[in-house]
Amino acid sequence: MKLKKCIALSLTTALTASMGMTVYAADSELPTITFTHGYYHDASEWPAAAEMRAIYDEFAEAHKDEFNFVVKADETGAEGIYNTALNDLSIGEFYDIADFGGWDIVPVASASDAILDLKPYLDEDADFKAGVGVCYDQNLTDDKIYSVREQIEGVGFWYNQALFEKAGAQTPDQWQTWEDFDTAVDKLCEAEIMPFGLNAGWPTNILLAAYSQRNETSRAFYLNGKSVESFNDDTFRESLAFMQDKVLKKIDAANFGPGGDDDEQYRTDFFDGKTAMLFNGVWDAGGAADCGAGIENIKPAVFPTDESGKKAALLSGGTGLVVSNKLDEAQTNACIEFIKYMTSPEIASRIIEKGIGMAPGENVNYDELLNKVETDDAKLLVQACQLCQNADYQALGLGNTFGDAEAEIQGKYAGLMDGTKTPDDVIEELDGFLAAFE
Amino acid sequence: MQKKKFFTKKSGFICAFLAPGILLFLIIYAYPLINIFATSFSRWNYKNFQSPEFLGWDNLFDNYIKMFTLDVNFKMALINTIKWVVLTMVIQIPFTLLVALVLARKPRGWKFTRNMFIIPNIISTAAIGLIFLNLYNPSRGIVTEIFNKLMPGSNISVLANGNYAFWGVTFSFILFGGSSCLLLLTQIFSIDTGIYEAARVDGASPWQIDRKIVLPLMRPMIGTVSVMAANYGLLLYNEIALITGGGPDNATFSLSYYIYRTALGSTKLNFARGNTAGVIQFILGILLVGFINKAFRTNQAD
Repeated sequence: MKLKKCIALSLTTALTASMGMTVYAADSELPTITFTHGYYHDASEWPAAAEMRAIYDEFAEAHKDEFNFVVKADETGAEGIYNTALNDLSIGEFYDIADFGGWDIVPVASASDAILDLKPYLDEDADFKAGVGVCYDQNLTDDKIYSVREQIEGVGFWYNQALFEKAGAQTPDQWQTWEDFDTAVDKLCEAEIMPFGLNAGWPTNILLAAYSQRNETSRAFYLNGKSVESFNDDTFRESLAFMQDKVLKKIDAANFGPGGDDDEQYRTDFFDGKTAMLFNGVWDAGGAADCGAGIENIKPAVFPTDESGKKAALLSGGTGLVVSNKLDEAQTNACIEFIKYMTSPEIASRIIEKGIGMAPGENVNYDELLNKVETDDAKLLVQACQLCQNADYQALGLGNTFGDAEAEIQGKYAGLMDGTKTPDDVIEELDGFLAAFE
Repeated sequence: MQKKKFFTKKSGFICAFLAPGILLFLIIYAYPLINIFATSFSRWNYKNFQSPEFLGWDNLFDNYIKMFTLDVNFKMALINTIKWVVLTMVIQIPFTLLVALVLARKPRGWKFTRNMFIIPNIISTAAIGLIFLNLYNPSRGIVTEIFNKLMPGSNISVLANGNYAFWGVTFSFILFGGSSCLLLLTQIFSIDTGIYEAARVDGASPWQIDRKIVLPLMRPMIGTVSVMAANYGLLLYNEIALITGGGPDNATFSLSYYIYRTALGSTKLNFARGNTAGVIQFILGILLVGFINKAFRTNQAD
């Protein structure tokens, strides 16, 4: 009797499975592409993730008659997607299409001949090219573009207008050159207002990268950061001297953290109204909502240069969307269609409007967006994005520029701050690092 | 005389039962280990990710030479690792032994103390890392506050200063010998109580009993926990990744963290160099275990 039951159950299972396969067979006539992303978070945890998933699902739904666009959230995030890709590459495989966020899979994947060059597709479609904006130039290596992204790290800085006024210092929107920055910092210090909080990492890197945009010579050195053979350069030495004398020595040890993902005291202090400036990206508009400093006092700004009145911002596309080059033509076209959709003006506006981040496109109407958004923090985000987009000089962040040397550079800030290192020491040590891995 | 058969029914069974274990050992341990040794003599990074390239007999030791002569971070990692191994031996083991000897006398509240002592060893190093990050926080951490009381206005940021950061990482693990303490206690409790009685009858003081009876009888176990503790110092990774990220200025690099940063924490994916450091770590481990076993004669009972 038991045997009969087992047989019956097995047959039922097999029948059900075969029915399922029949359904799949009908769908499988269409090309299938699996898109993997790291926006797995619940809406209550991170609303932006839910919005991104909605954007993906709408695309899949809109094209369901042309291809099966399978959207898959990886709960290990972009880092996990990167690690999985490394494993896959070791056996000659790769995702159909995946969003790697800021994790740079391109060097290894392109060297393994696993990913698609997007440049021909971008060159034949002006709107597509406009949609990817700065990513086109930033990701162009050896005449190939392997990745583009629908959102970028737009970085200027935030300041507390009330504290500047209290100190009688000129606010950043009026600064003409870096000298004005120095003067304002001195005035804030005289008024016993901490000008900024920093750490041996991200915010200090922003300032170093921004100061490196001050003139043509310093920009030229910075631009070649990826292939730098020696840090023994006068402009870089000047940048380090500026960081030591005009930045790090202006704050006390209590306002200089060790760095790392969990070290965000510099942000907390700014939004609590304890420091006057915060060096962080446009996305931190969200931090201004209901903050102790008062959202009405928080303003966005971009960096001065030494060319009077000209401004600089950091815009880093990172890696983002990468497509396998092993797909057939129909699958490849579907992936290109998806990237076009993701970098379209509509999605760009939505990304900014919903407070997800900044879009790279040149075709975003920020004035229109400013009228459209309602909340104060959303308005701040639009203003910050607009400032970055309109800056005279737009450069990559320190990590995207110097690669592994970024970690070495940021390791030197503590020594510059306590005076145990000079800019020359730092340059010698950085050159030692380059020599060890050449 | 009949020749003895090599494959009897019994030996066949033994081989069949051993085979899966041997196979797993070969796949999980032996192959990767050989691979690590072999690829330390190769060029293997993002450019030739799928196929390591032999350096050639003329340049066989290139990775080793570069690492020992040019790579400041490796040298820092090696020195730090050796320091942590030594510190576990001279701080953690004596401290844990002392705690075990005190608890073995079963003073009032000894069970509570034993349980408290084991807690840091049963909570994750991620949680420990976060706890210490907060303790060392320059603007609200209790350590900075204590320094400020002792040296007003010093505002010491433990993790932002190379010298302090090394000790910051060290104190995040060095006193946590709960697991070793349990092993030592078990060993103490297994000593025949008749020996204590005899010693007391002969007029031995508690200190003399510990010194002349307990410690000599515990020697193999002390050797074992020393191997475990030294190994922890040799392989230190989690605390560094969570508390300092190897900084500041790479002052808290350990060999394990160096391997991660070189092989996977870099877009250059320099697996060859990472594996070269892995070989050094392996050799250090072998030497260390051999030295401790010899020093404590762990394979000899009294």
